[in-house]
Parts: sequence; structure tokens; C-alpha cells
Amino acid sequence: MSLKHKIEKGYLIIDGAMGTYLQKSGLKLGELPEMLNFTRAELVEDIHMKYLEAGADIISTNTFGANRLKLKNSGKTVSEVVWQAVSLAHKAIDTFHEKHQGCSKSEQTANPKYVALDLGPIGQLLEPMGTLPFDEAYEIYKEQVIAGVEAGCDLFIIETQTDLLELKCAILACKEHSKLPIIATMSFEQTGRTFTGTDVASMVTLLEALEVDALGFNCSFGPAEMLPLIDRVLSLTHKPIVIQPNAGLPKQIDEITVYDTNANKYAEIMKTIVAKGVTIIGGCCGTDDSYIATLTDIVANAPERVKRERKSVTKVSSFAKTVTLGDNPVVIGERLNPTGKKRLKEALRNGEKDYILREAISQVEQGASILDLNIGLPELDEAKLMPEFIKEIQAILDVPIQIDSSSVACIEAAARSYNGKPLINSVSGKEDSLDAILPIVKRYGACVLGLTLDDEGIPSKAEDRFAIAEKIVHRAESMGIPRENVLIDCLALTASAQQEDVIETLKAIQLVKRKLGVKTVLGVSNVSFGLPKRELINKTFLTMALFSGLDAPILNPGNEEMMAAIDAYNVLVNNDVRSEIYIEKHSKVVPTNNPNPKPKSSTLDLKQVILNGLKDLAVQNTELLLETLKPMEIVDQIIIPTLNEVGQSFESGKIFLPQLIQSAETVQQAFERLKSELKNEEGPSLSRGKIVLATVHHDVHDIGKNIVKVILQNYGYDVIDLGKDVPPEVVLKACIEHDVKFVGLSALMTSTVESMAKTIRVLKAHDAEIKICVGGAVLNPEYAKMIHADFYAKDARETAWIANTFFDIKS
Amino acid sequence: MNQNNLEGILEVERIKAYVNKKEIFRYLNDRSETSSRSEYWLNMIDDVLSECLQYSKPIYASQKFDIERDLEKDEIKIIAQADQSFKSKDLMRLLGQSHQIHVVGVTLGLFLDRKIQYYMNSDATKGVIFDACASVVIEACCDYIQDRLVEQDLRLDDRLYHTNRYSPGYGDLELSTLSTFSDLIQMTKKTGIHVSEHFLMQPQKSVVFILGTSKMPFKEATLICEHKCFQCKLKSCQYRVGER
Repeated sequence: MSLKHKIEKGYLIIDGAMGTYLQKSGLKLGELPEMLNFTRAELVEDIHMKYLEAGADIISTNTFGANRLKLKNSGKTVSEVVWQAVSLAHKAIDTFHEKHQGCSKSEQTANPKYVALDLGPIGQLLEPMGTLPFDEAYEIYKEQVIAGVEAGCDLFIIETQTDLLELKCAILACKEHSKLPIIATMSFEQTGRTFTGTDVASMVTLLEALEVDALGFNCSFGPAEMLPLIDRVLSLTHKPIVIQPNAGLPKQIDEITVYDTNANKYAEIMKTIVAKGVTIIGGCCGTDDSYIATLTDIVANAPERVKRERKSVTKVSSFAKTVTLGDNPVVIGERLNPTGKKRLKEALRNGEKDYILREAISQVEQGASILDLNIGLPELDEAKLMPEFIKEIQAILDVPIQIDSSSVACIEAAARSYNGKPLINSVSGKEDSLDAILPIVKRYGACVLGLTLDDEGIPSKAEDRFAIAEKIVHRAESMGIPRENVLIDCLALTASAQQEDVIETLKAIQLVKRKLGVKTVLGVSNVSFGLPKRELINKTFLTMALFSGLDAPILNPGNEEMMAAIDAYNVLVNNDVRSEIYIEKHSKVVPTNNPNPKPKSSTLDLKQVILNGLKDLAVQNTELLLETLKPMEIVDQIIIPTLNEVGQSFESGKIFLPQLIQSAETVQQAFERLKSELKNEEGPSLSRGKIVLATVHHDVHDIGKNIVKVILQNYGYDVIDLGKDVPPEVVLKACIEHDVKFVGLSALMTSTVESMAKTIRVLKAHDAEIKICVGGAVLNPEYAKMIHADFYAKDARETAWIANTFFDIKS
Repeated sequence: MNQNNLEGILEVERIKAYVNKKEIFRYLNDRSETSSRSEYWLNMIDDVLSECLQYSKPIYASQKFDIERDLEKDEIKIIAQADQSFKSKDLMRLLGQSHQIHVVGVTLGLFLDRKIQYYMNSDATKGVIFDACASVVIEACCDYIQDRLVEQDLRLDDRLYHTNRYSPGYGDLELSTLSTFSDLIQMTKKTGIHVSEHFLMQPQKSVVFILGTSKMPFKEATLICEHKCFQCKLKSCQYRVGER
């Protein structure tokens, strides 16, 4: 029986802790355990032997931290360490077999033993919460994997992971460089989530999608504390479950760590765990061969494996949230699509990530469960930018994302670095589409949206659209993509142009649901194009589609009528039992929490509105002023002087930071209204100049920089915000691309001020005319001078003053 | 808090008493001695503080080490199990005659980092308040842990003395020592705090500190006092407490 087969069908025992043994044998804190493969080879081999004698089927190599970052100063390469570790494990197995059966591992034995290449976390946190790029993390794991395969390991154990994205990197590295089995385990807290927020459901969704051979938990706590997690994971997946708990909870007695669960107690609980359905067991911190020995009896007396049925569930996920389709309608937010949206196009062209994020947040707050993300503009490099935007969104939101693009390269790049199981929009019935998109879907375990169109276009008749849907589903299945990962969009046509075909969409949905059993998606807004009272048509069509079997409408969640139609539908089909949600949302007049309610009549002018931070009144007051003043006049005569007054109040301590920001946000609202006015007329733009802002390389602190950005935008500057952890060459590129001569750099750490100095050198070497203003808690005027910055600003207001001086002089 | 635990989840309820609301105002550039802000702002700060506490998941790891002092080299050496030494005149001065140090790593968690970014992008006014509250809450966690460690030590020997907290990056204690301290207490594994190649801690609302324990009384300058900035060389820091 092959190992893959054993993992799937049988019981297996993995070894216990390596680190615990090494510490008992003198490994000092701060010393690299992997070096003992060389300095204490016999000890490592002896530990392997102990576990083999205890009954372990799988021994893990002493390579938990054998990555290029941790081995940097060790004097050994990753390859050397991995080779040595795998060799020691093989040697132990050979010795074991010779001792017990008189034959070596290479010959057939009744009780084969396996060497698992142990892959622990890299030790650095991946972007966006950390600074390690996805591609670099992948390369780090790839190096270990290639060495392990060449050295002859039998499988991979990726363990003690707390970051789902890092785990994905490791799994891809394994899958793309071998066909060996993969066991993946994460370390959870008793909260039911990992340190990075991943819940059991999201872990399962991604690991199933990536087709690991077994999944589960290790470390953190003992078997008793793991029981709730085990119940949860068994309910979610048919995959073999792996459990490697610690020997209980740790205590420190005289500087030595001891664990509170002895081998007998451990065995008692593990027996319960096996009875629940866990089939691969071992130990982690604090365990030794005595613990593993108890597991042998448990496995020997384990009941026959109960097959858990594979759940055919359509789900997409992020790192922390799984959305299942099929129960209630799931709203996919459509607003992050530049088609017909001038402001969004402008934001994409200008790299205004904050605009994108605000739209994302707003849609989630309005009820979107999945976000569609499309950045398709001809002048943009989608393949480069889409992963960047996804990263930014996933830094603050946990909703799953629908990757929407007609660029294959974009879809590949985005799906690869996406943290979770994405939905890919889309594939069609065209052969080149099926050939290009489905392999990506398979590779990353994504869900895919199939459009019922082919080389002939969109068929009129429902039966013909169904035929395309069937083709897509069957082609996907032939490539190993499970049916539940294919969703179908039967495409809404415009009633004003193809009225007879509108009903065919609904018929097609019914056919797809009945005959294929897959979930359906539909963009409903198209149907009303060209007709008056579009909302009425859309709402009616939406309800009809839902009743026909639509699972996930793509719409604007900010449209209250459409969202209310879904609420009403849920009542009428008994999704919303006792109409509780409907009543909660629609029966009350919701009191405003705004302590600054709108006055009954607007007696305040724009200046007062800004001074008081009355964001809600900014647009209204700006519109009143536009009746008599031009946009630039409003800026020069009212906004800028008022901002100066706000700034002075802040300097004098009359107002504090939140008040400054609230006034700034109010001005932002006014500016948005003025910008939309300027789009309608010819004349000068509001921009007083362009400024590039960035938090320097290796630094991720950006709150101060963001405050500076808001203030500078208030003063009418176009701010190209490059974000955080920005390499010098990226700053330079932005300056060249946008013809910028004024740059603001922020650093909060003494360790990253050197990055600031380097950025200044790079900029000045290119163009001595570029002026650089620096700021951040660790800086002062003397240091700024030392690193050849042109200006030092202690806060946002001073930055604005410096910019004003620079641009006035320049002009 | 189990005195023998190497790591622990801190109950937010216990931290609340340590939260210094005046500090929130100081972070928000409110320089008045007692805040003269309107009820609107006072209520908003209270609400945001509650939310911040709700989303905080404070967790810490700590361990006590015996130390030796090498006066010639200005080095503190951690003995028993580790050959780690730290060169720092300022740390030597702080630790005085200390024979032990507690090393602690504590964080409010990544979820809070995300929340701060969420608000900075959706409601910046609330975002800056949230960030200020989080800075104060992590300090409160440090204060709480410090008190508990001192209590624990005094239960064992009531004649012990303790220094104030001291962190990598203070004075001449190199920021790079963060990595070493992190490894010593297995901080990443136990708390999820990562130290980047350039010594940034992630989650951002994280602190590593050292607390010295001595059988001999300290000179005045190293006693626990209210002003935590007195040894910091960043004289121009806008958040400095006490003289600049």
C-alpha cells in the first residue's frame, strides 16, 4: 500500500517532539537545533531510533527551522542541513529494520517507516501584516523542498503554521516540485483562531482546495484543549485528520519547562480523539517516546475507519472567513469595477489605494459578502496591480474576493497570492478560455464563474445557454475540478434590446440548478439598461431570478431597494425564519448616533462646517457655494484660509488631533464634490502640485504618513501615496512617472532611518532638483540634515507649510 | 495569571484598571492637564476605548533568567542554558546589582492592527483615536504584567527590589537585541509576535521589556517611577513625558 493510500485509508503514528529531547540533552536557548545534525549527529539519530522503537511510522527530520533566513549565520546551507537531516533519519530507519527484521528500508517490509521533511514557519510574517513578500516566502520553502526531495524524503509535514498564506506558500512549493504526500497542520489558540485570525473553517477550505493529503493541528496546547477544534474539523471535512498535541500546558519550574499531562493521561485523551475519527496521531512539545509508545496500542485497537463522506459544498474563503453558497442569497459587491465609473477609473490610474479601500469597506458595511474586484484599464498592468490591491484589501477586510479580469496573467498572479480560496471571474465556453483559465482554477483550488457564452456569442435560448454551462462543468470535472467549484452565470440581457431573451436567463438558471446542481451567479443591473425607473426593473428581475434559483447576485449593495428586495425574498421563502432579520432592519426608525445631527435648516456656511468637522454637511454647503463661485474660488477664498485657521487652532492647542482630522475629512468631502464639478467643465484643475509620499523600506508604520496625506490633500495637492515598506527604486519610479519634484518620507524606527537615507541618495542621484521632506518620531532636524534631506517636518501641518512654500516658490 | 505559566492570555477586564485615559489625550496632542474637550469627544473616546478593549487579544510570554554583569565589557550575560550577552552601558546602569531579569513579550494581536487600518481607511477621525487607545492599552498590559511579576517575586522573597521596565532600542541597548530576547522566551511561537529583519515587531502594538530583580536596593535613578521617558535619548519625541 502506498503512503498516500495509507494516509487516506489507514492509521499512522507520527513521532513526538525533537526540540524537547534536544533541550534535555543540552541544546541552549538561542542555539540552532538544526546544527545538532552535524555536531551531535548520533544524538539526533538516537532520538529517531527512540521514536521508531516506540512505534512511530513517520519520523520527522530535524529541519523545523532549516530555512535560509534562520541559517544565515550558521555556516551551513539549507541543502547541507536538509541532506544531513534526511540522511540521519534514513540511517535510523535502516538500523531499526536491521535490528528488527534483518533487512534495510529499501527492501519490502511489512511495517515500512517513512521520513517526513519537517517544514516549520519561516520566522518572518508575510505581507501585508508583515514585511516578507509572498514570492520570497515561496522561494524559501522551495529551497527546502528541493533539497528534501533530492535527499530522499517520503513526504512533507508542514507544521506549527499560524499564517494561512505562509502555509499556502509552503504547500505550493511542495506541490510544484514533487508529487510526495503533504501533511499540513496549524497551531490554534483556544479562541478557535490562529494568531493571524484564521478559523478552522477557512483553514479547511483552503487546504481542501490545495488538495493536501491530511490536515489538522499541532502544538499550542495539549490533547484535552484540542478537543473542541477536533470536533469542529471533523464536521467540516472528509480529509484525514492529523493531531499532534503538546504534552499539556507548559509551566516553568526553576527555568525548566515542564508540561502538565503525563503519558498515560495523554493516551487516555488520544484514545477518545481516535474514536472520534482522527487517524494520524503524534506528539509535539513536551512529548517523548513514552508518549508515542502509548499511541501504538491505541492505533492497534482502533475501530475500523468510518468513512466521512466528502461534502459537496460550494464555498469561497479569505484567511478568516468562509462563505458558503446555497443557503441564503449571497451578495457580491459590484462597485470595484471601473466600467462606467469615472471616479474609480481616476483612482485606479492615480494609484489611489485609499479610494479602493473605502469602496471595499463601504460595500461590506452595506451587506456584501463577497467583493468583485476588477481593475481592467488598458493603461494598467493588471497582473502586477491586482495582487497589490488584493493584498491591501485583505490587510483590513476578511471578506472573500472575486478576481474579475479578462487577463489570464492577472488571474494567475492574483489567484496565486490570494490568501484563501478565491472565486475567479470568469471562464466561458470558448475553447481558448477553457484552456487558459481552468488550469489556474485547478492549480489554486479556486471556484470559477462560468459564463454561458461561446464563440457564437450569448445564445438566445435557455437550452443553448445550458449546453454551454454543461460543457464548462464537464470540462472542469475532466481536469479534476470538483463540480461544486464551478458556478454559472446565465447572463442577463437588456430588456430594452432583447426583451424575449430576458426570461430565457431565468429559464437557464432553472435548468442549471436542476440538471447540473451547481450554484448560480448573475449580474442583474444590465437588464434595465435604457429603460426609465431602472431600479424597479432591477428589483423585480432580481426577485424573479432568486426564485428561479439564483444563489449570488452581483449588485451594488449600496442600493437600499435592491438589498431590501433580498430581505423581502428571504422572508417569503422562509429563509428568514419568523422574519426576525427583516423586522430588525425595516420596522424601526434607526436613531442616529451622530452627535452632530444635521440642523433643520442649513444655517452654517462652509467655513463653519469645516471648523466644526461636520462631514455630512460638506457636500451640501459646497453645492450651495457653486451656485455663485467657481471651484478654485471656493478653494482659495474659503477652504485654504479655513484650513489655516484649523491648523493654528491645532498649534495653539485649542483643538486636538481628532478635531484636526475631522476637519480634514470634511474638506475631503468638499473636494470630492468640487472635483466632480470640474469634470463637467473646462478650466484649471484643483491640483496645486504633485507630491509622492511613502513610508520607507522595511518600515510598516503609516498612520502619521496617512495623516500627512489627508492634510496635503486638503491643501489641494495630488498625493501619490506609495504606502508602506516602499523600496527606494519604487519611490524613484513614481517620481519619474508622475514628474514629481517633492517627496515626503516617513520612518518610525531607528533601524529603518537607513532606508530613508538610501532613498534620498537614490533620488538625488537621479535628479538633484527633487526635494525631500522627512518626518517620523525618531527624526529631528539634525538627523534630517545628516541624511541630506531638504526639509524636516515635525508634524502634518508643518509638512503642508513646507509644501506650500516649495510650490509657491516653484510656481 | 498563573505564576508558573510561560505565556498567558490576559483578561481584558483585569487590564482596564491600568488604562490611563489621560495618556490617550496626550497621544492625541491634547496638551491640557485635564482635558477640556466637549462631551461629544469625551464620549467618543470612551466608546472607542471600549471597542479597542473589545478587539484586543492581549497575550504575553515571559521568562526569568539569572544574569552576570561584566563591568569591564559593559555586558550583561544571561547564564544557564544560554551564552547570550548584551552590551549596554545604560542597561548596566539600570540593572545595578540585579542578579536576575524577567524578559517579557506582550501584544494586543493582529486583529487590532487590522482594526486600526480599517478605521484609518473608513473613518480617520476614529482611526487616530483607536490608535491612541491601542497604544495606551498595550502600556496598561505592560504595567499589569510588571505588577504581577513583582508580586510573584516578592512572594518568594520580600526583600527583592525591581527596576523600571527597559526595552531594546532604549538608550544604547541596540534594537537588534529584540531578536535575541525573542528567541530566549520563544516569543513568536507563544504570542505570534514576529520580529522583522529590520527589527520591527508585528503586530505593531507589541512590546518587549526587561525587568531587573535585585537583592540590593537601587540607586534613585533606577527606581520604579511614573516617568518612563527619563532614560530615553529621544529628547525631541513629541510623546516624551517629563523634561525635554
